Amino acid sequence: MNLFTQIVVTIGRVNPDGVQMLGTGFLISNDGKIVTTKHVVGIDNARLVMLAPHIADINQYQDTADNRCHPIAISVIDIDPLKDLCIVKADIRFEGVLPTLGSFDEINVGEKIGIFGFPHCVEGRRVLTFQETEIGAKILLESQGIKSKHAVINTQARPGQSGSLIFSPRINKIVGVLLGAYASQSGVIIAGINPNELNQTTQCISAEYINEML
Amino acid sequence: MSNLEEISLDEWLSVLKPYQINSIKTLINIHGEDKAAEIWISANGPSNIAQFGGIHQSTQPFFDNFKTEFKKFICGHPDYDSYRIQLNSESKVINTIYVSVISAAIGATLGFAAALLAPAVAILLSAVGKMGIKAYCTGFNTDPPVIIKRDE
Repeated sequence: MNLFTQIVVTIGRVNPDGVQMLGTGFLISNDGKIVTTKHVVGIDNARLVMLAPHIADINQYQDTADNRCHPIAISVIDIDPLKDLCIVKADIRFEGVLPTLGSFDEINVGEKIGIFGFPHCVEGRRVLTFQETEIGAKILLESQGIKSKHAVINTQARPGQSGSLIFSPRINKIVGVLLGAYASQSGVIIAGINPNELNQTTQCISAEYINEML
Repeated sequence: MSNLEEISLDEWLSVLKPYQINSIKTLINIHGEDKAAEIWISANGPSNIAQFGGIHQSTQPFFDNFKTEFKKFICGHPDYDSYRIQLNSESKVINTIYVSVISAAIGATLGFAAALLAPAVAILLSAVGKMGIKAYCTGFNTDPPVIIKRDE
């Protein structure tokens, strides 16, 4: 479990006031390649950073009042805008053994999966959080006429969790990347929130597509 | 840059990763070449997903800016002189170098990743080759805009 404290990171952008956290990413190669989503990085390639891990033990109390961080510059090396995936690279070297990439093909509906990410980091709160849930459905989602494999996971996600790692403890592989919640347009926004996004059908894309980008 | 017309769309696309080639060919089949380039640059994943990260921005102005910069590059605007000198030093058009240099140059101007631009650059280079540079650049003015001075 503690491995994930070292490979799941916050993605952010340096601005004059400090680092604005944008979402989650995770390390997939020993030479510093990190997966996140395209929408986390956005269309501006400038001043992107990852924040170096701030805890070594998942059971450690994370001090939410401590806003110090160690930003490391990252650059975008590939983007798949149709699948909303992005690979960035940091000039770092990870010396441990990384989990391999799998696919939703390898797990079944009803199986347990773990999620590691930073909910609420876009609001300035940096807490590496583990959640456990099940695969609720396997679905094909279309983007501009191109379909790709996704899964619905039975939990509610919040801003900051895009790019979170979805892990299968049974096969010991990363099987997906969290994208967001299913939400049709309600036409109503309350305190910046579309009420339709408040549900337990979080959408994740299969990790197999990452391999194509490496 | 005079013999772009000798390179086919498939040859331009061959410089891309296999997943990009598959996606771009599907987009071209559904939407046509120009629209495929626009969709690739502007797409943001499947619809009906509330995305939980980043800052939501419209990508439409970015595509328009991309097309403007691409035209400036092809049609001899001085902003891209150094890159064109680099390309003209090649004895013939080498598609891999053209796509990577033009993507990097426009990416540096617009502040976005060359990796995103490369498929759109490949499609537009094919279109320029079919049309011919002279026809593509008709009406394009490389002079900087004249600033109208107003009285204080």
